[in-house]
Amino acid sequence: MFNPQPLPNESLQNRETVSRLLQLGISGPRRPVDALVERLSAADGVAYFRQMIGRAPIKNLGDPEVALVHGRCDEVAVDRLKEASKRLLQDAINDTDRLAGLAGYFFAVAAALVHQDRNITSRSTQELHEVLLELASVSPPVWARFLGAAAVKARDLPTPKK
Amino acid sequence: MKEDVFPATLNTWIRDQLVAGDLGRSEVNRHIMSVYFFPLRTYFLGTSERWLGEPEEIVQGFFADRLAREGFFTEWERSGKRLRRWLITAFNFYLKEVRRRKWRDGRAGPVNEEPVSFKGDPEREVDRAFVVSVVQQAMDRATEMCRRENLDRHWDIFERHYCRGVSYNDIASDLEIDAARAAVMARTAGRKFKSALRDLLEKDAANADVDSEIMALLEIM
Repeated sequence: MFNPQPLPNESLQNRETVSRLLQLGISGPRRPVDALVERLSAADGVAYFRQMIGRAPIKNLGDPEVALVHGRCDEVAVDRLKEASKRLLQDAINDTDRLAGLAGYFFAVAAALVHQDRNITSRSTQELHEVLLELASVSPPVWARFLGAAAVKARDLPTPKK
Repeated sequence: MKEDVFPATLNTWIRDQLVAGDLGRSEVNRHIMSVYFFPLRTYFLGTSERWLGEPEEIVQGFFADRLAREGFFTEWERSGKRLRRWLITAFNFYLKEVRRRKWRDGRAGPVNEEPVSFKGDPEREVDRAFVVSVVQQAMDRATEMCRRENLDRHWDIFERHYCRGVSYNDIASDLEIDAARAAVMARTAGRKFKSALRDLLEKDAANADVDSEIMALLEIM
């Protein structure tokens, strides 16, 4: 019952490393996108993801993978997706609408970053980087690569002027 | 004694486990031994009683003696102290017992009844050791979670980046993937680590606000 416990790893002798790891535990104030991340990390997250991209406003682009991941839609279409998603988010009467609005918004922002070298949001670059990375970590592989690439681009953007 | 940095709280997880019977009690004991072994060892190494024996032996002896006692956790609840403070108080009593026992057995000269003293700030040292221990436990759990879900590579990237400070670019070129992919994979493993860390802190804090707990612990690092 009382087995000797191993001592902590050598890397944890460094206080900076321990603090950096401890900081990862902070959740901070809950953001709207956290609900989307939670939903996508559920056991049926992949099915939910498919369902979400198969409905308006994302499906209005045609094949969402071709349009957004492979960048076959123009700037007008990306801006239209962003605006339609914002409207859906504002007028949402249930979680399904709200989450689809959020997804559409961030997918449009990611497509503009990755394929058009445009930043179409006023969010801070750090916040955008975090959100896109978080979404990438709970998305199916093809989308994870797309959102991950957008997260890296967001991190390298100049900070928007207030 | 200085005022506790953290509010005195009663812990719901420990109470729930104890109510659940023997299985729950074993679960609590396992948790206490894995999380508090290192802080108690650190404390022992700084005390005037270091001569009593090897730290591993002394701390394991303390666990074997105290965790088996029926009212041990009830007394802790009654004390209103944070668990690690309570354990240190109990450990000091245990050290005195070992001191007397050694004297009775003729393995030590006459013993005084001086309280156990510590070189430096014991609370700070114990708190720091507690953080290291909790982070280590969270890493062990997250490693296991990743292994079960075939995410070993994700964990490897997380560990290289966060523990060894290797950049995503270097990891990516080593693994022949792109840096964005490496960052996403580390984030996936990081989610497991975060959930394990918060779960461990919730068990000991009982203060539902884990963020505040982490902020307070960061202050002492």
